[in-house]
Amino acid sequence: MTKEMFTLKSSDGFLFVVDEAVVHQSVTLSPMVQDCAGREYPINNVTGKILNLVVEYCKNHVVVDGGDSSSSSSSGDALKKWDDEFITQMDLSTVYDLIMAANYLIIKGLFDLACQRVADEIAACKDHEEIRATLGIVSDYTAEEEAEVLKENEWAFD
Amino acid sequence: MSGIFSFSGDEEFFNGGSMYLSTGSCSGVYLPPRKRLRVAAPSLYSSFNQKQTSIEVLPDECLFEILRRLPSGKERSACACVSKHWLNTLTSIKANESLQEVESEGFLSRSLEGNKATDLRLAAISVGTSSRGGLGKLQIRGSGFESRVTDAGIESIAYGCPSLKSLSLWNLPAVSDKGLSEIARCCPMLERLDLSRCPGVTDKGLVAVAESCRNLNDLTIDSCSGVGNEGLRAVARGCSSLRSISLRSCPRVGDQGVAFLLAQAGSYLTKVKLQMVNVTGLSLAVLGHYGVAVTELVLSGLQGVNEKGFWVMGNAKGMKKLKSLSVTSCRGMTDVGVEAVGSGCPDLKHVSLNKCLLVSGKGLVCLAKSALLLESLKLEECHRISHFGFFGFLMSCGEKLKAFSLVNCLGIQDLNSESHLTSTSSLRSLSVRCCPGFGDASLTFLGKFCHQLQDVELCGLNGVTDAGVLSLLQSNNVGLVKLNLNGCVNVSDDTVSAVSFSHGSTLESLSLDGCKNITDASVVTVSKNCYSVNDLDVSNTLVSDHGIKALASSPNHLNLQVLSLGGCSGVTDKSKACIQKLGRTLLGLNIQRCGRISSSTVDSLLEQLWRCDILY
Repeated sequence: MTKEMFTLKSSDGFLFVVDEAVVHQSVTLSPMVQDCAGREYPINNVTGKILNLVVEYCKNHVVVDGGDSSSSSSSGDALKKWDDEFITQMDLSTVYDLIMAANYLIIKGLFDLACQRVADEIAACKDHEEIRATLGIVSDYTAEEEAEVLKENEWAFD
Repeated sequence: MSGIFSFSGDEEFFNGGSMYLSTGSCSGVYLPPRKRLRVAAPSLYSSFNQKQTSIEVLPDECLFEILRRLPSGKERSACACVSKHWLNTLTSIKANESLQEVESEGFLSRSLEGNKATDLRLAAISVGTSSRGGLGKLQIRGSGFESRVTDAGIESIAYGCPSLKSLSLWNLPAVSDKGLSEIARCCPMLERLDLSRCPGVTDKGLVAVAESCRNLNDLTIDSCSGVGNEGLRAVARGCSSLRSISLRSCPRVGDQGVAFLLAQAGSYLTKVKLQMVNVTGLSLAVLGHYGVAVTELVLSGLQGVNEKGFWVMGNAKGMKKLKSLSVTSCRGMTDVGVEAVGSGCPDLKHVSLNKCLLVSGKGLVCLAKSALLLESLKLEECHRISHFGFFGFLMSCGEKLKAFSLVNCLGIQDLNSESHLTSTSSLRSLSVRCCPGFGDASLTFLGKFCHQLQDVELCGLNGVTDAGVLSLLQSNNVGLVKLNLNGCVNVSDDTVSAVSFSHGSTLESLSLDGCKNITDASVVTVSKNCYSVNDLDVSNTLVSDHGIKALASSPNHLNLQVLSLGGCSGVTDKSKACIQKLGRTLLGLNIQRCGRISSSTVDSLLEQLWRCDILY
C-alpha cells in the first residue's frame, strides 16, 4: 500500500520525508495534508537538529497509536520508558528549543513531555538561587522586594 | 552540508540533490563539537555557563505551562523568589489550572497597610499561602492615591486563593470592577466583603459578586461613590445568606436599592446599618414591615427621613425581634418616633440616641413604659432631655434596666425630685459624662432610688462633690465594683476614704484621673481597706512617693494589674523599689509625664518589669 509522503524543510535547509501519520500529530501541519503532498513544506523557525528530534518523537508515537488494544498496556509502558529516555538525555538548551518547536507545531504530547522535564529540573533544585543558576535567570528584584517575597514563601527552604 | 551521519530505519532517496535524514539517534551530529565547561555539583554552581541557553528564551506562554506543572507548593514558593517575571507568571495560574491540589480551607489571614500594601506583596501572598492552609482573610488598608495596590494584585489573590472568605479593601482608588469581578469568579466561598473608599468599584462589580458569591453574609460599603441601587438590587436577588448589611456615605444609593433589599432580605437580615445615605421614610417603612429578622439596627445621619418615617417604622410592628437600636443625628427621630419604636418592638433591650435634638423626657417615659425588656439606655447630646425626663424615665422603667448613660446632655439641671418613691431601680451601671448641669442634688435623688449600683462613672462634672458621691452610695446594698471619677475636680480624699471603707471588699477598679485634690491619703486608705482592687488610676493628682510606698506595703497583698501615675509630679525615683515590688503582678503601668522620674529609672523598670506594658 502506498503511503502519502510529505517533505518538511527546516530553517537551515535540511529535509525530512515523513508519512501522513507523523504529520497528523501536529495540529499546525495537519491541514497541509490536503495541500502539500509532493512539495516541500518549510518550517521556518525550527532548525534541523530540533526538527529531527520532533520527527523521531512523532514516528515513535505513530507506532503506538496504530497498535491494537491488546498490546496497548505493555506498549504503553514501553513508550513511556522511551519518552523518559528521550527527554532525559537532552540538555536543557535542546529541551527549550523542543518546547518552542512543539508549541509552534502544536504537538501536545511532546510539549507536555518537554515542559514536564523542565518542571522536574526546577523541582530538583534546592532553592531559588539554585534555580537561577541552573536555568540562567537574572533576578529583577530589588533587595527589599526579594526579602518581602521570601518572607511569605519561606517554608520552602528547609 | 556533507556531514558525517549514520542512519537506520527507512531509507528513501529524494531526487533533488539535498541531503535528508531519516529517523535515528542522531542528536548532536549536526553541531560542530564544542568544548563545554565542566562544573562540579550543581549546588556549588556560582557562575552560569555562558554557552548554555537561559530559560529566558522561552516565550511567556511556555513558561506558564512549565510552572503550571510544578508538583507542589514548595516548588512554587521557590520559583516565586526567582524573579518578578516568574512571580507574575505564577500568579496568573488559576487554581483549577495548576496540577497540584489547592487547599480548600482558608486558615491563614493577612493584613497589609500603607506603603507595605503592594501588588508584589499580594502576589507573594497568593503563592505562599496557597499550599500552607490557604488564605481565608485578607485586609488591605491603602493610602489613597499613593497606594500601590491595583487590580493586578487583587487578581493574583483571586487566582491563587480560592478559599478566601473575608476580604476588606480600604482606600484603594486603583482597584476597580475588574479586580472585584475576578475575586467574585474565583473565590465563591466569600462570606464577608468590606469596601471602603474604593471609588473604582461600581454596580458592575457588585453584580458580579452577587452572581457568584452565594455564601455572602456580611456586606459593608462605605464611601464608594460608584455603587448605586443596581448593585444593591443584585445583592438582594443573589445573596440569600446575607445577614448583615452596612451602607455608609454612598451618594448614589437611595430608596430604590435600599427598600428593595430590605423587602427581599428582611426575613433573614439580622443587622442593618444605614449611615448618611439618601433614603426617605419609604425605606424605613419597608424596614418596619419586612424586617422580621432584624435584631440590630443603626441609623445615622438620615437627613431625608422625617418624623413620619420613624413613626411608620415603629407602628408597622414588623420588627418583632429588634433588640438593639441606635439612632444618631436623625432629625426625624422625635418623641413620636421613640414612642412608636417602643411600642412596635417588644423585644427591645438596648437603645442609644445620639444628637437627637428633638427627643425629650416625654418620649423617654413612653419608651420606658412600652419597652418593658429594656436593659440599657444611652443618651448623648440630646439637649432637650431635662432632669424631669431623666428621673421620669428611671422611675417608669421596667425591672430589667441595668445600664444608663448620659453624655454631654446640656439640658440636665441639678435638681432633686420631690416625688415619693415606691420602688427602687434595678440599675447596675450609671454613667454621666460632661453634663455641666449635673451635680449633687441629682446624685442625692439617684442615691435614694438606685440601691444596686455596681459600676459608677461620673466624669468631668464640676458640680459633683464629696457629699453627692456619698449620698449616691449611702443605700447601696450590693457593693461597688467600679468607680470612675475622672475630671471631677471637687472630689477629695474623704470620698475615697468612705468608698474604700464601705466597698473595700468589692471594689476592683478606681479611677481618679484629673482629680486635683486627691492626695496620698486616698491611696493609703485604698491600700488598707481594699482587697480586690486591680486597676488604680491616680494620674494628674497629688499622689507622691508616700502613696506608692503605702501601696507596695499594703497588708492586703494587693493584686494590682494596672497602675496609672501619668502626670504625677510627686512621684520620683525614690519609688523605684516600690514600683518594682508592685510590678510582680502589674500588667500595665503608666508613668508618662512624671517629670521627676529619671530616664535611668525608666530603663531599669523596663528591664525588670518585662512582663508589664509600660507607657513612659
